[in-house]
Amino acid sequence: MNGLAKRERREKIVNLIYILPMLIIFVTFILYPITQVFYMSFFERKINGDMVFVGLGNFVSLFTSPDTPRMFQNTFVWVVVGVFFKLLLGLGLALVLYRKFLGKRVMTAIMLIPYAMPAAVSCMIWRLMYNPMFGHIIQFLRDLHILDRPGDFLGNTRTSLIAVMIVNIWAVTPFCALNILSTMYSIPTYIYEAAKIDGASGMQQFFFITFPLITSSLRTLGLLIGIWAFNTFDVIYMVTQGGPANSSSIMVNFIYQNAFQFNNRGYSAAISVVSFLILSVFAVVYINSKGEDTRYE
Amino acid sequence: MKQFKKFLSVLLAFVILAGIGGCSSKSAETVPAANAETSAGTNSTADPGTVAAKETVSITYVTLGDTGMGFLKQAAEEFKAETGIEVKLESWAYSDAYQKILTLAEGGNMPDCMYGFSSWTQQFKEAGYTVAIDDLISEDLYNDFSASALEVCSVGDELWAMPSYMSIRGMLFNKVRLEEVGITTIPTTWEEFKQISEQLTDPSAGKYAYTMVAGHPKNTLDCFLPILWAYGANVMDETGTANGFNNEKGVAALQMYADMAQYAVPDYGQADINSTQNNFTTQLAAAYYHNAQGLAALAEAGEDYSWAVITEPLAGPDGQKYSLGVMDVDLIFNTGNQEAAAKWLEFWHTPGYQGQVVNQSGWVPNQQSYFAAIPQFTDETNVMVAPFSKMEPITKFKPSITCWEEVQKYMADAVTKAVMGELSAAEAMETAGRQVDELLTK
Amino acid sequence: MSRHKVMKYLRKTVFILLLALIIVILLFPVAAMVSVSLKRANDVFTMPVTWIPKVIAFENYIQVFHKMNIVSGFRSSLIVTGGTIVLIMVIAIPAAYAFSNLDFYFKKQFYYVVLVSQMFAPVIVIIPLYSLINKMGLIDTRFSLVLMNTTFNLAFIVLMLKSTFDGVPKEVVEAARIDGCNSMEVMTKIYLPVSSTGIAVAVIFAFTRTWNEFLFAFTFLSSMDKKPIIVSLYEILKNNPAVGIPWHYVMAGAVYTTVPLVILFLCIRNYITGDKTAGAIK
Repeated sequence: MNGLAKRERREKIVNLIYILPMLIIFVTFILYPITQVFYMSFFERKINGDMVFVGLGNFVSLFTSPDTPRMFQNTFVWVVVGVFFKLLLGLGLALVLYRKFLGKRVMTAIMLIPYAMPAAVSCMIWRLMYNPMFGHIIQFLRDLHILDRPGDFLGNTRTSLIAVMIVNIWAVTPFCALNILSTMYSIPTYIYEAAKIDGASGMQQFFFITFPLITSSLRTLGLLIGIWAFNTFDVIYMVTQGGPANSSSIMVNFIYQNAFQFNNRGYSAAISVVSFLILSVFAVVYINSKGEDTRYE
Repeated sequence: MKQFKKFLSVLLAFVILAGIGGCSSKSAETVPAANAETSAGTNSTADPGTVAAKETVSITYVTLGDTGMGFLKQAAEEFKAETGIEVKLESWAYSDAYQKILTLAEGGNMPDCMYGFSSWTQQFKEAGYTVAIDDLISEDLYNDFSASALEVCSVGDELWAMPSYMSIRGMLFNKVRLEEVGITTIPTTWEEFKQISEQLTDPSAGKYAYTMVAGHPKNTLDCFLPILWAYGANVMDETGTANGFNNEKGVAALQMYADMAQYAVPDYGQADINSTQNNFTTQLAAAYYHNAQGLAALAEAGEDYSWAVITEPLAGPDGQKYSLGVMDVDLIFNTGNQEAAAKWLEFWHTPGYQGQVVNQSGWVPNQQSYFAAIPQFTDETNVMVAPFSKMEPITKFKPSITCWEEVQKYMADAVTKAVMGELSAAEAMETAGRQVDELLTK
Repeated sequence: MSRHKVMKYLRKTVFILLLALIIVILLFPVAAMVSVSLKRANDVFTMPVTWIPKVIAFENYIQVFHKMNIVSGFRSSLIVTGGTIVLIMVIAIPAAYAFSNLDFYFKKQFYYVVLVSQMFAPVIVIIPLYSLINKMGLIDTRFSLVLMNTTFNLAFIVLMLKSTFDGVPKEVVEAARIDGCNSMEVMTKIYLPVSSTGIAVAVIFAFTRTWNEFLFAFTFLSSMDKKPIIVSLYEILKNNPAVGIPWHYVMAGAVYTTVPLVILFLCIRNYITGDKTAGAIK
């Protein structure tokens, strides 16, 4: 009995080797820089380059700056509304593609193209399309007589965020659809058949069978793309650089702007800390939901 | 709940490590000041301790937007033949240059010299990234520069940046288009221009009176500053410690700018200065504010540009008018290779090399020797240079203050919001004024 | 015709219209890309916008090689992506295996570390990372990109692989153990062959995310010839102030960049349309 326990304990230690390289990477490239960022958030860069300790000064500036409410609002809209539409449209897409039909394989492939396109490429194309004078979108709206003169969605402080959101939703919806589809496939068909025999219509089948079974998967997916959305820097930067007058900037854009354009390292770090805390809330919720899933398996 | 506790313990571990990690990160911050001690320049083979005397084998020069690349390569070859020093050429994008050089400075990895913007002069000097140029260049070169060029690049009495590409901007009008709608005299004030703008604007035919920028963080001010100045306001007030635009005059200027937006090509939210240039050269807009680059581009494409006329900038209500001067500079960094870098720059700043680039790009020379050596610069009929050189006396440059990037952004945002109707001109100026004041007192 | 049949035809037509609408919305930008890539310089900006240019400029696809660093861009992208995939797999496979099948101290805590590390945007840590990479002397090397991409995708891949490994039937593992295999042998001889599908999917995800990666490639590299194609494309937009952006060439370059990815996705779509979960039920 004793020998077995000893061997077990030794194994428990030796097995750590399997995750050692991973841990080294995390500690060096994530943990260490994050601690530096936390540290920097308490400092401010003076005009001559020195770093001066200011305690919570940066955080105070952050919460009193006139740009901050817009930043939080933009981030909220980008994440929450964005996720909502991505899930909604993804669900719709998945429902349409669930049944067998001619050309289904091709459709699924076509559906993936927006997701497969490199972000840089799709951003460039959308930028061209949004051009007020020569862009395809404005032209299309003029042809439909919705607009009578060239307009600018991207360069307008009121609509720039929505314009970029459309780009992002367009790219991520197929991914959601795919995930939802694969969950739907795992629902055994005999349940549907039984329901049909009982006389359930298509709508009823959806609401009482499909939806409840995919809810937990939807929730996890929503969290995942919510976190991705929160962290998305590339798309906004490449389409509008944060929009006219920061109207399409979310928190990560401000972090970048303050760090690289204004050389305000301390302030940028303070925003990073706040982002980190917000993300941690996400993380807790995410872990809890994941926990439920694994126990289910 | 259990998971939550576990997560908290992980978080706590992070925070504890933050405290420990914090101590070690102090060294990172002293890098810029101690730049002299870190080994610099990508290929120098000398002892990193001494900054002055160094046996340099190669230096790095960065240009922006591929400017002058052809001539740079030529010059580099001949420089190497003459001095044995290799010049490694790099090209960065204009818009990312500031970020890039700052990140490199932080890491102690800077090039030896580079093409930059005059607004960096003061900041880089104070941060210790650059070296004073007076002692490194010859008297001849120093005296070759024009007085205003030297002034822009000096901090106090010392020269901290070498004047390089300079452009002076005035108004360009499409006189053919003006005649089309029956206007025979070119407007000379903003009020006049605004009055005729309505006739010049016909969106369904794709014709507009004006093209401007209201959104781009840098170019917005390129278009707005001349109006601000024309109305009698400025970025800073006379003392240099507070903003100079949150007043009646500044608000009036912004109001005029916002009013002009309705007659402007509607892409101003996403446009940059090149878009405005494009709008003018494709004859979408009847007027815009710039230098001769647009015409130079047309000339290069072999197209006719006689329909364009260059005039002095439009004046404000009391007749003040100013051209916008943009000074790009060459900076020498504190990498230990400054003597070699200075030698290279001196070799480069000659009519045969840099002078040619200035000529081709439609910029205005600021070195006397260029005027002497290249006939196009003194040619009265050369619409690229002559009209603009004449405007040098009324030229104002963007201020070189340390937090210029932020000031620029606050002002640009205010202008953008006013133009797009989010804020009134008064509110916009007030917000920006407050932010700039706060910044200047730090 | 019976009412039932009419309803059926109606349903079918609605369905087909819906499909068509979806295709149009999804492929609208792609069509724009191809359309612009085939235009001559003067036709790009016309009012009104034309979809099919009067003169189809196929030569853009050849000219673009002279205007942009397509070949070196591709090469860099491939090197960085290939390197990342190798490094990630070498690190992630043992880690996922350990989480799935082995027991060790602090297993739960480390698992949370993995989950949590996905949360951080690289933007937040880029400046300290730059200093760090610089101190290691790796600035302007493709290896630094490999390291960065590995770091920020590792968590996701480990989790993906873990769930694949969780699907390996326990009986097989137990049989192997009884036969005397140690942990390492179980991993290489049992898990790897059985999970080849899951590993393939992980490889594809790693490939896509690294191929598209922009921020680090943009900040850490300065030599033109080392830049991945994504960055080269983007820089054209920002480089030349005096000349307008050559959109027709840019779009041709964009087509070149997109095609490999699309082909890759088409090849593996079978694996990600849910067939892997079908096995789980049975």
